[in-house]
Amino acid sequence: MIKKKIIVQNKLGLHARPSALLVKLANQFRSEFHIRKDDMTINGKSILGVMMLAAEYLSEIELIVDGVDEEYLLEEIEKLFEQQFGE
Amino acid sequence: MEIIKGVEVSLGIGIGTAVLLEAQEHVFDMGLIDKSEIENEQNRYHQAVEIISKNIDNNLIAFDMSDEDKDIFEAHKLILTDPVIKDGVFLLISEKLYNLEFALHIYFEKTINYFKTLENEFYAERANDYKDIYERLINSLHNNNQLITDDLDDMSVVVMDDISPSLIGELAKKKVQALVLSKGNKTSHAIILARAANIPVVTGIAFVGKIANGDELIVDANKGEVFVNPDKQILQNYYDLKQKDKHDAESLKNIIGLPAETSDGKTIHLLANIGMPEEINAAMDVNADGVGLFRTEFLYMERDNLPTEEEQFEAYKLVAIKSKGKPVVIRTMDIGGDKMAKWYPHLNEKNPYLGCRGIRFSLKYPEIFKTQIRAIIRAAKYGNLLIMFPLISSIEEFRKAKDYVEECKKELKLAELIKIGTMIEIPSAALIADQLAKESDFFSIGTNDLLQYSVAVDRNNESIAEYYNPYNMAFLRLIKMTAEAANRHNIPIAVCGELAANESFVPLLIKLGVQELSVNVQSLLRIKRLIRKLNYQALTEYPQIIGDIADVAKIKENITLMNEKVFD
Repeated sequence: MIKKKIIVQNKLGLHARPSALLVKLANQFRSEFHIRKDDMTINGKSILGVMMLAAEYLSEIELIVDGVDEEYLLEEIEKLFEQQFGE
Repeated sequence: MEIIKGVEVSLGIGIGTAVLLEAQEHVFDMGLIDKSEIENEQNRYHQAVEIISKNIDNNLIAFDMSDEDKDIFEAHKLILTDPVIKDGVFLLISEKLYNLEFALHIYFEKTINYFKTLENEFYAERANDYKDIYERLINSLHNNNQLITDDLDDMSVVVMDDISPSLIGELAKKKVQALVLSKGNKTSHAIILARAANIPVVTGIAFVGKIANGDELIVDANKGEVFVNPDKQILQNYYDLKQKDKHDAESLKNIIGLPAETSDGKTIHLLANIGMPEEINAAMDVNADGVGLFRTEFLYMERDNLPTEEEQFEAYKLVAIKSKGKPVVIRTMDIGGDKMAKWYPHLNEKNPYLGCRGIRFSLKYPEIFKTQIRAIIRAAKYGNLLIMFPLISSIEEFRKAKDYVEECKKELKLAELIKIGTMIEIPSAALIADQLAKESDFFSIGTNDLLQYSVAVDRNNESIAEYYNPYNMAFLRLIKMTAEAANRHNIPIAVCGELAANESFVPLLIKLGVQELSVNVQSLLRIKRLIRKLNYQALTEYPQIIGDIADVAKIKENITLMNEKVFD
């Protein structure tokens, strides 16, 4: 299991489009993927979960990946955040 | 004739005969099942999800929709296949022995309520997505769309409570004129499809007792108005308008992606005027270069109390984010004159147009003003926001207002660089434009008020309407002076009044040195098309026409003559 804290840099926060991209990406991997924000932890493969986080611009979230391809998954997720979901 | 006001969710104009359709209620049992039926209920869920997903895929292929609408559909597909939702629903079926309908009802109600409680507007709106998915699932389980559509044809205006996506397909096939609903929201599947199928839709129309089968209707879904049994003259006007719209719409679509530049390559910044935060979407859809005038009165009108800083912040933030880095000029409140709010202190003015309105009101009630300024400054980090003060008549007013902005920045400990501009709409401001230009970051001319104050004519007074004439030389000289002052001091000069959307005047405004035009969203592509046909060189080389002729008819003639020479 790897945990990593990051800051949401998207001005819109994790709104519909980034949430969708994130969930689609996570679902291509076998590892489990969870996101924690404040005291809420959700399944990162669920769009409902990601939207329930309501992660706004500059909020801190923790990515938690666990499984056989966890490193690769984390790398890809970080890339997505770094590129600000292409926005 | 009666006019019913609603909300426009899919633009266009429809004229036809009312056909009232009554949606059938979902009749189904929400009950308990036997253990042996668990698997069956779960299979029904899978089937429903599969049907709807396929349906969405087909719609995505069949319809030409905006990227934003496509994103909504993509998100909806993910909701349908969400493992957490499936597990939650299945748990209610297997543990509590709810039937599928009951389980869906309980699960989605909880989810919808969760989103509704969120403070962030974006996320709170997601409640609509889940409501829409819930309804689609239920509809798919109970084929409730057996509405009789045999009576519909291309002269029908369909009037009903709410509509399902599949019925939109039917209406599109029948080529109905328009759709009038009492319910329905902008991001639901059905409305997205209506937009993609170019069916004009107005929602929020309480039609019971007001519209009957066979009534003649005009649906103006550009303004959100429904005319019931309209007068002959209005009907004729709308027929003409619709004919013109039809021609225009097709050719205008082709230039959305093209820049607003003249045929010889001079760029004119073409921005949108908006009066509600949500209008930013429409502005972005027509690829506006930004928002040249964001009127903020919507925050203050039609209510008993003042808007909080938080509420304003959310509204500005929404526009800042959605404008994707393009400039947004926020005009501070222009209350007073003809725009009175309920909470407004009763000033008992004999002449409100010459009274405490615009910036005068803001300076008189600095706490109200500062609340707005603070909200704008805070929202500025989400985009490219600019501030503009309305109704400036002197340099002192401008300085005072600017000081408040500085004060708010200090209080908030934010050093955002926000450009501050002057709205030129009083002759005294135009006459000192050279001085104001030294301290303003930009100018924007509000032509409606500038003309009204130039000729001392109340523009709502029909008995003297003939004096309210934009071909008036005094008025045109003021525009010229303002543009020259701005260009001399190298600050941007925009026109955001009605004149900017007037095809006869656009060449003249550009000739006078105006670099930016801000127009309502509906006019934007039409003005872009005009600009793209304009020859800038021919325009600048054409003799100056704001000179020594003061005769209104002659000026009009000269402008017409010029317009014949400056287009390719």
